[in-house]
Amino acid sequence: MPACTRWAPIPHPGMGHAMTEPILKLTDVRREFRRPRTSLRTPPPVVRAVNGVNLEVAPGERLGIVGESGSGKSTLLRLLSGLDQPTSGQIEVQGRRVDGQSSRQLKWLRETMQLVFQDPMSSLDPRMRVRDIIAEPLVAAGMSAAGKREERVVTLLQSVGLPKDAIDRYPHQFSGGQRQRISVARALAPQPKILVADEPVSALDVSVRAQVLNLIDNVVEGFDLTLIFVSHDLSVVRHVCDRVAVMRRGEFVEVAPTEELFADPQHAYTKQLIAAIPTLSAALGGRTAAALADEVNQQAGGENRD
Amino acid sequence: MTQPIEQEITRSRRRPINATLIVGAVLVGVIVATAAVSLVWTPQAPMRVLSTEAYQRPNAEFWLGTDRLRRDVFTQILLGARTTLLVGIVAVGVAALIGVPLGILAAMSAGWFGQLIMRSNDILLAFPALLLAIMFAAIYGGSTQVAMVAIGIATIPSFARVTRASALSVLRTEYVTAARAAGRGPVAIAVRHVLPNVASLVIVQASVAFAIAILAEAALAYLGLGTPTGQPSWGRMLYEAQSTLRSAPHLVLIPGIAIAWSVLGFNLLGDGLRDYLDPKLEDR
Repeated sequence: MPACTRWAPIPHPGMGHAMTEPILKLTDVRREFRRPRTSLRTPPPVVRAVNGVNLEVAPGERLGIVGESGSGKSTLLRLLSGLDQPTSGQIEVQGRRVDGQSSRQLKWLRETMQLVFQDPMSSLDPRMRVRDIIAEPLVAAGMSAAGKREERVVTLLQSVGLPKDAIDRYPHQFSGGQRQRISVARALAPQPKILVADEPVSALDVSVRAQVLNLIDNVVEGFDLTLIFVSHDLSVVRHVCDRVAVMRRGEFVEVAPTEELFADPQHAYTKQLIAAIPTLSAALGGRTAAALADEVNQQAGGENRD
Repeated sequence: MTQPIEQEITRSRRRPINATLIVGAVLVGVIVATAAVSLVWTPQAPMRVLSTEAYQRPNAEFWLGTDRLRRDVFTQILLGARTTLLVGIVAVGVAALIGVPLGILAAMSAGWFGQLIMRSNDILLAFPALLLAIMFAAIYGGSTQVAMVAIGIATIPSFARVTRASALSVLRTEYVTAARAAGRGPVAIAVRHVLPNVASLVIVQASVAFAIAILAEAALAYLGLGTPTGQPSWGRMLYEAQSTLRSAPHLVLIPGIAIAWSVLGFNLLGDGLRDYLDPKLEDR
């Protein structure tokens, strides 16, 4: 097990949540995937996608989860949104268990936690009108009056900055940024407490990233949400989050308030990620991602590898 | 991919209509029109034995001549179009109504149940449509109804297969994950997301299956196992004319051309629709 893990005091001071119950709590969560057998004599290899994650998120907090692709970020999201079951460990949202529940038992979770997905091209059904896409969580929640639904959809469209006449259009008639707005509107529909965003801007043009980030910023502020924001890009996370968890090989290697993390990164991998942000000063200072890679590997040398 | 100006909503792009689709649609349209005309008008009373000479070549009075039993060939062709379309519609209907739900079910049930569906599908697939229809005809007697249902049952596996394959890819998309995260149950996902998104492939499959059904019906009628004597069918006409192939070749040629025409028409329509409805051409 890694010796280099530094845990930020949870909930950490200065956030004003010190006395509140965590809205989301993960206790030693693990998820293993069995690979196909390579030999008859050896057991099938196991991939530990999430390997003992502990986490507490206070209500109203904005937590970023950063890590390279394959570090287990997406698996972790699937686990805490009840779309996948952990191999072991506990996941609690508002004190209620998420793991080990059937999808029918998780109906309350759908109204508490909503997701925004990475690819706005594939996260909206191409054969559905915007009205039906945004109303889907409402229908699932049992809101049967069509008039009431439409009213709500129009309000949601306004709150994500889309024109009212977007309601009768199909997803392919929108740009990537606009689709992500539709996605956010859908997530807001059941009035959730927690918004989970899985790389919401990585598939977008750089020119519209800031707009979507600001939108997420605004709705989290305006609707008083707790945000779980996953990205491989630290600079994006810095923009919206007040605490960051750095994930590597299924484990959190460092969890710290955003500014602290940037000012004084403890783990070599965090340093590498920060160095990977293309900035002028980093380039002038000669600190490149490549130069830091060796340092990370040295520090990670003691870790178990599959 | 994305528009630089955020507020601009792009207009729906029209997809190109290809030549194959047009030719196929025209050929099929002629068959449909022929069948429709036969409902209100035929040159002679249906299947009536006329007081005229047998084996007449096409002439002014009898446009496509007369057959062995002194019946008007043109009238039979018109009526035969009706049988052909009916057989196609019923056979494809039976196949799609059973095959499509089976395919979606197989795609959505990951474990042994999905395997069971697909393996029994494979067993059914091992029987050629014609063989199955002959078996049915042997048990229930030869009639248009038995032929239609038998051809339909034999076509189920191809629908189940096509549906399952594309349903699997639909189920892997983020919008299905989004629907699950929104709290939709498996039935709602199947009906609201999977079905509309596999529909285009099913339509293509249907038009190809239609052509196969027409051919199978003609073959059955030719073997004397499908449509019985006294009812109009192109395959039946071929069967009755084969003994006079040399003396009256038009009696074989005319229904032969009609069959080839409709099979070609539905195949072209299927090909054209495949290109027209290709999801890869969509959105981008």
